[in-house]
Amino acid sequence: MRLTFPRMGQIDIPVKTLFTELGHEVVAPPPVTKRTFDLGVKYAPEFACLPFKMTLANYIEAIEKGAEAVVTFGGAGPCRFGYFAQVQRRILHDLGYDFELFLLDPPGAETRELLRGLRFLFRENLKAPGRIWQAFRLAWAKAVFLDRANQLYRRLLPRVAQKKAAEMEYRKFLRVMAAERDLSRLELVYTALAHNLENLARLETGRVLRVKIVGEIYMILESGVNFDTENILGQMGVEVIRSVSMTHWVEANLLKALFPGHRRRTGLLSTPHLTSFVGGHGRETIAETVDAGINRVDGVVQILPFTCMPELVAQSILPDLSRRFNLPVLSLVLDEHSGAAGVMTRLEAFVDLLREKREKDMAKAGVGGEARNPTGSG
Amino acid sequence: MKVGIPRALLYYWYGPAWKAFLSAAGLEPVVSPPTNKAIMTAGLKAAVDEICLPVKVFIGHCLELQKNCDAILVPRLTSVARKEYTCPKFMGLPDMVRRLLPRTPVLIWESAGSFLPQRLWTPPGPGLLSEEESPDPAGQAGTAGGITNGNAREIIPGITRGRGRMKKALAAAGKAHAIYTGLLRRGYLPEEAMAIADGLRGRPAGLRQKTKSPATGQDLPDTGARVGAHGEAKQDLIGLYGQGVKPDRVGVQRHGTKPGRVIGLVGHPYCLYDSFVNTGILRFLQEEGCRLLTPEMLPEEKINAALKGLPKAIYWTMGRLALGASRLFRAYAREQAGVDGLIHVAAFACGPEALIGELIKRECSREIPYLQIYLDEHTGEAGLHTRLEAFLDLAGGKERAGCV
Repeated sequence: MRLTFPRMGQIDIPVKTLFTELGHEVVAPPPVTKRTFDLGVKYAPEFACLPFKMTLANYIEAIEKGAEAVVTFGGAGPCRFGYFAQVQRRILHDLGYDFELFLLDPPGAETRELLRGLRFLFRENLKAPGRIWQAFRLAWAKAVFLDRANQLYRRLLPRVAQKKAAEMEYRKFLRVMAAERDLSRLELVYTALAHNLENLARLETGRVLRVKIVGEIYMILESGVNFDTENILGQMGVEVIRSVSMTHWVEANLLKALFPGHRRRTGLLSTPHLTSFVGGHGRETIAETVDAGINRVDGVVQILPFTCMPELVAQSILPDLSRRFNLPVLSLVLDEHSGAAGVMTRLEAFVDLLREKREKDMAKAGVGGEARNPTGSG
Repeated sequence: MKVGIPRALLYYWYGPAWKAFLSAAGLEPVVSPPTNKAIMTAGLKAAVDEICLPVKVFIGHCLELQKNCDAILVPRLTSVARKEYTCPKFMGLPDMVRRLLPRTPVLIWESAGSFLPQRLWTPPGPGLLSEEESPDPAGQAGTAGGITNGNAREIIPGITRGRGRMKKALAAAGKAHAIYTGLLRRGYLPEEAMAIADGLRGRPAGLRQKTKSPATGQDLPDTGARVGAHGEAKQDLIGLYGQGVKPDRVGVQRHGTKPGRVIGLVGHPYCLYDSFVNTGILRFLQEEGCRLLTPEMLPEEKINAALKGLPKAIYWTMGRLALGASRLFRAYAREQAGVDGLIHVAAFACGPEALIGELIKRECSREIPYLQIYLDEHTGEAGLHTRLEAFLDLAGGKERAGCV
């Protein structure tokens, strides 16, 4: 049975690796295009969030390419993500698409469904737990290296003069990473990228602006729906930092018991401003903005889909944090009607504002302004 | 000491309980006036643009209350049933509101698993807005001198120290809630049910006596208390209506003289019952001679039974009630039991309703006349009422043609 899954940023590389290593045939959904938007908007409910619409379109495009089963995650609320699959199944069924849904709900929500999904995924290897372990190890290692490479790329891009060359290097890395099957060679692939990027970087570049991206994970990671915000900022010479990533999500949600630190950090940082969890990444958004304020990041960009409930709560509170830490915050509410030019203009204006603010701050601090954040210089 | 209760969001479920609780705790509950233009405008100004209208209205009510209250009760109803949630926005409600109220402390009614509070407290520290940035600078009039933003002990003297008093207040809240939900289940709309429940207060002894006699089923206070004991309603509302036992209690018909159509309404309580937000849909339908059924009038066991077989349980309480009620209404329509149409009222950009509404639409639209209404601050009475009239023609026409 050919499998597919929803797409989110580079998650297709480790997930495809995992399923292939487990002995399944995988049909990855194609990257987000105009058609993906059209399909999602046409068939999804109007006020569903963009992630719902895009994943629905992912399934349609993958089924058209021959997928017969969908594997996806669930949840137990209150964010809508946990109920996506149920409504999407109904919509696709009404449209006449024939497929089987395997829902990996967290334990406690629909345990029976989780077991069914796992039994299906492992059915080729039920007798060989070693191979399952190998598959997970390879996929996890890829995810870790992808996140590391992404972090490195975000840090070095503003310090590179030949941005095109850096982008080519990064794309090459992604291609090699997707194809690589040998666990021991992953590190080499990563080191090669690091070496090439560092060669391109000009270390004499002065202190660059640092912007933290917070918000809803799908909108942050899927460059097809956020107009490649990170890349735009990087091209403008801004270093983008963020804590949201696929490995972070897995650690904070699926492996909660092994990584209690994530939740504690979020709770400690956000509690003075948001006293309860609100689902999704709402609390993380507050916590990471506080972190940005304390660490004197130059600005924060919050990316959220229109009608996202947890992020709206966070958005309501962000003005206070902005005032408190003297931290400019830009909330980008995106949906299918957002245009690349509009987003670009707002980001440009925001970066201009940050530049001017930094100059003012430095003038205020006198000559010592440069030393305000010595670690920040490249 | 005056504690404000915003007449918004889940006030339509728990308002009487909150009032009873505060009264029993020795405080003076003050309910904000019904939503009006000024309240809504204040909320629209203070809230984030993209958030749903009911939350904006709630914020408006809080800003209104801060003018003459010493504290404001803000619920954080994380969940009111096991393994379910209300809405993410409700969880962040106290934090969204308190930053807009620089001088009035908020009393957070924090509950999870049941509507009764697990914790009742006030976050420390003043609101983050400074005085001149406060959206309502005139709002300082009634702030009492003795109150600081400390903790619950300062808000309710003696309530955290004397356990007995807290217990008494909680019992009062539970009882008021039971009576109120009982009345809703008998077919009263919240406004009427609250008026009746208010009338009952003051003679609790007689009420208790009557509750024990099972024979007086016709007596209103008695049934209120009896049925209200959470899901004790053995008799099906529709059954009552069908047998003609108490037709006037099923929905409320004020102006129509002919039997009229029965319209099922589903949606979150604050969309259905806030007549300013929904431009008086309920009144309009009543004046057109319709009888109304809402999810609150249906026994919860029936709703849950109707939802059996869902591949995954719905984890939003209001969404579960809406889908379950829509299925019941559909079943009643099929059985010729007298539901002629279904109206789904939701707030624009409501998160859960986007998904649940889609399910309801897909399930219902071919079986029963169905209308979906989205409310926002631009909703106009004339446009909406025209749609309702057209819908009623459709609902009536189907009935005449015998299609339903």
